[in-house]
Amino acid sequence: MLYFITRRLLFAIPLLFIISVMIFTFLNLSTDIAQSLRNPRMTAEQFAKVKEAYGLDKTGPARYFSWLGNFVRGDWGTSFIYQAPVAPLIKERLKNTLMLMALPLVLSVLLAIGIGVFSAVRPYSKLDYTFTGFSFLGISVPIFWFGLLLQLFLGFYLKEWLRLSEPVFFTSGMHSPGRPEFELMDFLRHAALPSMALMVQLVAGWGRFERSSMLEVVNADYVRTARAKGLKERKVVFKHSLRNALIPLVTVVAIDIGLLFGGLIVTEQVFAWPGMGTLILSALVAGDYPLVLSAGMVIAFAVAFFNLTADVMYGILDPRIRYD
Amino acid sequence: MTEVGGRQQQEEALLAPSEDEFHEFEDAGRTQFQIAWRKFKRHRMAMVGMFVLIFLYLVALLAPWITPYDPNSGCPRFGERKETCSPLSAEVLADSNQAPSLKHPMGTDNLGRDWLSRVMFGGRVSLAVGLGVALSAGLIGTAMGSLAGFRGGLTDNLLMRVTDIFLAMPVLLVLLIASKWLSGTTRNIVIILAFVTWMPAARIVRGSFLSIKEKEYIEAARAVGVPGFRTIWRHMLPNALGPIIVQVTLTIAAAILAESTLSFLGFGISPPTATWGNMIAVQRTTMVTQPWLSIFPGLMILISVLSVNFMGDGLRDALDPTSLKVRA
Repeated sequence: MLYFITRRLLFAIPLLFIISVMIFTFLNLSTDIAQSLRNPRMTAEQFAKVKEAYGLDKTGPARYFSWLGNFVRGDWGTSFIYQAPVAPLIKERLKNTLMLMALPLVLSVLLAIGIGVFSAVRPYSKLDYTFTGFSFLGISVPIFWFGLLLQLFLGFYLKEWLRLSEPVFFTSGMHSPGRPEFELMDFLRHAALPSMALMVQLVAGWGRFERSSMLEVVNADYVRTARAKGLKERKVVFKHSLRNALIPLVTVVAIDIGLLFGGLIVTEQVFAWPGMGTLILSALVAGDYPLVLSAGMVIAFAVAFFNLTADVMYGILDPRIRYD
Repeated sequence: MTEVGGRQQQEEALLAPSEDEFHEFEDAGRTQFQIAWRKFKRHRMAMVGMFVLIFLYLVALLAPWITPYDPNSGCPRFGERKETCSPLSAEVLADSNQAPSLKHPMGTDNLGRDWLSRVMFGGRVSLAVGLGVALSAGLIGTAMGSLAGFRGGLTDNLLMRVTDIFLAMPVLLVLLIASKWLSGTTRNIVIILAFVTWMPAARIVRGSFLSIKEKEYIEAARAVGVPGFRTIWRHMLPNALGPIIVQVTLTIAAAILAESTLSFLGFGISPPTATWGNMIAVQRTTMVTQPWLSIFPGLMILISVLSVNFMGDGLRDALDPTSLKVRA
């Protein structure tokens, strides 16, 4: 197991390297960050001096390797557009992203398990078809559009309909301006809509997945044995079937959490959530390569880390799997 | 005679062979395609999805001939006013910001452009991207997967590590950066999306090839000296086709969603070329005053992706030789 984990972690290093080279190359080809430092009144010599001060007079590869050298030593560089060190910026935004993710993740897992169990216990029933229909809608709806609909109906129309001066659910940002930094109700009213947008795709995907893994289990021999022993149906379903059907779900959830770090870009953009997604997006538009690279590394690492977690969990939970 | 009766007769005939044995077998013997089609037909939602998709693709294909207005200028495409009308003229602008009506079923935007015509032309791009990406990704994936599965050894190891790397990438981030570099045209978006969607097909094909390779008929092919490429093409690929078709179908859905997301974020195909994604992006500011302008293109994305997903589900059931159960 230890050998397996070590090997996978070592594999992540070339992976991160390749991704960073790709990010830098594409970014360097598309945008010249030096232009953002230019001021119409600058003379050519002054502009050259500014470029030199930021190290932008060097060639692409030289700049990439100087970023890489500093990055591995813990110096993540300075953002051009924010004119601030990258590391604290990412830390702050990462915290906001995690705050947005936490609750929907827990709720989605619970809902998905519920849907999976009820669908699989009575497959092809009315309830099962209803759930299946909603799952298909959930995996097929464009998230950004669904987010806009949420803003329109639960943000705007609900307010009009209830004749309130302030919407029940806020449509953008993380807390109201002028309020103390963190207030639970205010935070929840801001987080509700983006959380819903997030949960739709998660519940739909995981629910369907859990249904099929439950269906596989309920026909297994040991479930029949449990029934033959005369156990109560509730015990058969929740203890003997569900516990085994949860193993595959654990891995899928772990992988999807990793993917969410990058995938939240859309939801955060729609709801103007000050997280990693909006940070990366603004940095991307400007071609702010130290910021995009470092944030990209955090996201890529999260993907790799949660992939590894998924495999390790599978090995721990399912004794039939052994890594050598 | 009803269908049920016919089937019963067939089964009886199979159980108790008559003198005319060969003839009976011909009746019962169906090609793989016929068996799959029979299963697919019974998946009601898949059939609905297929017909909706055929309709949408037909509309997209015929858009230049059937849309009443020009998608970009808002001028009528037919009738005598066609010659005299120009974009942003008083005549076009008189019709701006209309709510849905008989004349403009999806309303008009602030430039007086008929939204239905624009949605139809937008669908042309969005649906073409979906199909283009799915086919190219299927092609790349199949090529990589068959090479890896057929050759095995070092080639397999190398190609699968490349696949792993692509699978471990933060997809949306790579997409955004790549489309920022190659921004704009439909062709570039297809290339970029195919670049990040070929991996599942490669894995699936490799998996099937590894098991097919061990079959006797492949050994026989090798024994009589059939060259490698021909073995893959004639003997292995046809037997691995089912899962590939399912994967390619589902990639259409993923590609339509990805293109619309990129275009919505401003990294995809940019206006004036209409796609469902960038139409929503442009109309974000009018969400409250004219919600239909963003609701209709989004609804089209939803309907087309939903249809593709249902069809993929039906194909999965139909093409899986082990599945006997047919869903209503």
